[in-house]
Amino acid sequence: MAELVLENKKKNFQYYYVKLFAGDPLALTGVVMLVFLVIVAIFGPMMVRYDPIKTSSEILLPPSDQYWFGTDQFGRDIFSRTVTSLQLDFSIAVMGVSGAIIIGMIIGALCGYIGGLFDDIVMRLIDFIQSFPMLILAMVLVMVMGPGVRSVVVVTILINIPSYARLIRGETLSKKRLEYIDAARCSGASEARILFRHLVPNTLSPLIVQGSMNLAWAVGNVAAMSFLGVGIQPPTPDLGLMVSEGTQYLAQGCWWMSIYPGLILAITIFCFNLVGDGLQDRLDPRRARG
Amino acid sequence: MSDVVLSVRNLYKEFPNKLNPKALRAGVRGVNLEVSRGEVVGLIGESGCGKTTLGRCIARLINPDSGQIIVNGKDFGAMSGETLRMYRKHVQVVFQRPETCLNPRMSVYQFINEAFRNFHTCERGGERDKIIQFSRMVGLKEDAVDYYPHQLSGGEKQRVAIMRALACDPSVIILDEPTSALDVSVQAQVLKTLKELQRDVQTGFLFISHDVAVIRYMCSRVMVMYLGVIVEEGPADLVFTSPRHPYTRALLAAVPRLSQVDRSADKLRGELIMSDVTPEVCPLLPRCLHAHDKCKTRPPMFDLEQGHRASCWMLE
Amino acid sequence: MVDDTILKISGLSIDAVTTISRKRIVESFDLEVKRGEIYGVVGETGSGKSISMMASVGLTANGLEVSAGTVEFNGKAVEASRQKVLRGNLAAGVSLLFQNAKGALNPFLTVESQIHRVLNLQRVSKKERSRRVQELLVAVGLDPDGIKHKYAHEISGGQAQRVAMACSLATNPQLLIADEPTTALDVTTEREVLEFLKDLCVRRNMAMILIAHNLALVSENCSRISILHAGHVVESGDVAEVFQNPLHPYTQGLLTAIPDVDNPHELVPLDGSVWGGPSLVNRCRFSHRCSCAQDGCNEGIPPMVQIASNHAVRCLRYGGNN
Repeated sequence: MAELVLENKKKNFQYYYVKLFAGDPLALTGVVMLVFLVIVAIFGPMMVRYDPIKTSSEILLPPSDQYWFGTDQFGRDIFSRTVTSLQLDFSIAVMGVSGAIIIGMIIGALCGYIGGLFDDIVMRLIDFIQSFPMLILAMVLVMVMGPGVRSVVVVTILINIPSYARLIRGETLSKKRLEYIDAARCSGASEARILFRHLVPNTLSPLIVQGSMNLAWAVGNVAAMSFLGVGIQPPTPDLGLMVSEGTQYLAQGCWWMSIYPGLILAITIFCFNLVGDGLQDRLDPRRARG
Repeated sequence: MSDVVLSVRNLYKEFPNKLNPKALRAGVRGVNLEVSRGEVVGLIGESGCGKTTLGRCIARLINPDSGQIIVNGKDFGAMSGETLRMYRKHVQVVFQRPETCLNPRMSVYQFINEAFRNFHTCERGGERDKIIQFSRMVGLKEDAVDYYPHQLSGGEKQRVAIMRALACDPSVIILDEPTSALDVSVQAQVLKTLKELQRDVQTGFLFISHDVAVIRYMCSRVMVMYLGVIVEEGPADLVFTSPRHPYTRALLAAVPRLSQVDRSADKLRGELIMSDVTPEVCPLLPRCLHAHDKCKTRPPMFDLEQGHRASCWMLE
Repeated sequence: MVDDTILKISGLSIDAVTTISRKRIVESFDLEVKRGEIYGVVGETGSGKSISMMASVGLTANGLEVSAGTVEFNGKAVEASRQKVLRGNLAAGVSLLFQNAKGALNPFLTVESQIHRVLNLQRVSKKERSRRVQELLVAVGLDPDGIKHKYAHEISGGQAQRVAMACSLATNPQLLIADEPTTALDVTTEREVLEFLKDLCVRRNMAMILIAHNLALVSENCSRISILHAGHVVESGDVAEVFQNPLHPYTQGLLTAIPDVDNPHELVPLDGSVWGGPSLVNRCRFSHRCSCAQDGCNEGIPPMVQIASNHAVRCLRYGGNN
């Protein structure tokens, strides 16, 4: 490319700062913290000092050098339980959101491409699912499937399918008339191949933003369901469960049982949101390109 | 065996106008055309005349209401399913806008390989060589074969579109305003490439454009379209030097020219407004300065000389 | 002696500025338009024709900055600050006309309201405004009662362009800058619209700057032109003189690269592309595509040389040291 550049300002600290942060320190903070949390979630459970499930006699101890977050009513180290729970919560959230994306994408692509009666019927079914308050849906599924990790994952997937289906359907509708799709048709591609090999890969860009925001919600959802008793069951540690159990001991002054897990939960969700916002700002096509 | 690769007879395709059901519908009304091997046939018309619809119907990208499309002797218009998909090889299209004619998520290689894959027009293992051969034919640098569309300029994208059409080894290529979105200097390069290609490859070309000068440069035979019907057709030299239909005359008079030529007042009244016309009348009726009572019935094509024909009562 | 120059641009340079770089997009742009004349500014995409003209009336896009040069309208210098220039110019009588006519009209307003709003800026009474709306619509060749109540999507492209013209004329401008006003229109409509504009210019003694990429169009409608390439004016002068006797290799190249409807000749495309060469800073920006480039072409910007009273060219072949 020919250059018109008159002067390249010195590539100093300011240059690299702007380039890296793209003027968005908040998003970068979110990314850094999230990476930290993910590392903790992956490697933490292997490295904690105490077994998160094993009970002991050292009950209701406040935070100390030995027990960083204190112990709970069964003498279990809250820090170990928090770290283990992070791993579980992240896995559930990721499984749930991925499942929703895959299923939602297939439904949305088919609806957008085929159109007509098929589109109408399927989208009304999607509307039906979406019109259920989340909690009611969660309760119903738990009654059918029994509480536990599996229910939480299924609830997460079901609740999120509609938004991905709509997203991909919209993108498919707007792109299926473009000339390169006709070019693929002229090149002899079958309709199925046109849809999945040529069209769908071009509809995926909004997924990144939606997905990251969704993960924030999903982590919160796991905690909420466990808090209400319809999600993860004791003795498996879960942040929401720990908060819920801890409230009973708040009156006794054992604040560390609810506060620490609650704080970690809030920070995690906050980080996901920061990252999602940052991605949205960067990937929004309306932003002026340099 | 005749040399005619494409024969279109009495093609109809109309789009209903919900706001004004009685008004003339946009589309194509009873068009006949023929393209022979190695011939470049031009289709001139302004916006709304139906030329793009015609091109897409012939390529079976939209389905005509009625009429025949014969490609290489077979009834392409009647095909469906797998037969249609495989026969598409013979009718290729090069589209107008470079920004959207390539798949943003596919490299040039992958995009063109689709045709090889479906039509088996290249033996396995020889794809890259063949694509490089094509890129030389269209004047695209060899490295570009692995580029993605955002790395290519408008003219380069258009060349890739041409390569894709060639990769299908077609009998006829429909070019729908292939250079309209390009700059003057790039347009010249692409047009020159197309002309040389056409000489080498012996495919029939149907060149659709609103740019009269470009059509004059590229085509040996020309058809002028207005509001869905062909109003004049014939050898390019004849049609351009002695146009007989009032619309063709007005069009040629309106084209800006470098040389200050004094032109007679071949004009049209007002603008193209579809609701002023109904299907039975001559489509130019509201705007033609020579209109009279007889024009309330659509005139047939009158033969002039050497294949030059026009549809106007004044020629009777 | 009455100075009949209405717009004078001298040495205008425009840069694209980001946090880490400064690129000179347009360099040493000179222009002089006389009252009542139709001046053509011609160039391909990226030549800087729109940017230069918009900058001269204060409409620089975000990221662009005028780094040098002066602009004089009606003998008075125009200030650099954006807001001031816009207001000042509107009062002084410059109007704009753009390519996308339907896009220039507010989709929520009827034709009548649209023109009313423009007249509002002039603090005219309501009754007087209605009268002016009628007058303007007639002046642009539309039937006022037929079109007053229509919305932008209900009228055709040619009609929309005329409504946009009416809005532009509402301020009684002395200069109309038309940026590719007919590129989106059919050839037959284009001819009508341009003939109309020419007629208006004569009747109102209004000057017009026609920005276009179509050489033939400009040759038919303008009396003088400037040809731009990659941000430099490469040739300027009387239209007939420039096209009969093109001096700059770019102009010559363009003329052989354009198909002619009367004379189908073999097209000779220009070599390379604008951005294909090495750095374009401080040298002739056409030399990397030029068949007769010399060493001196890379050592500084060639100056504009006045070959005749009505013809100037920026090329070392015709003299001038850097």
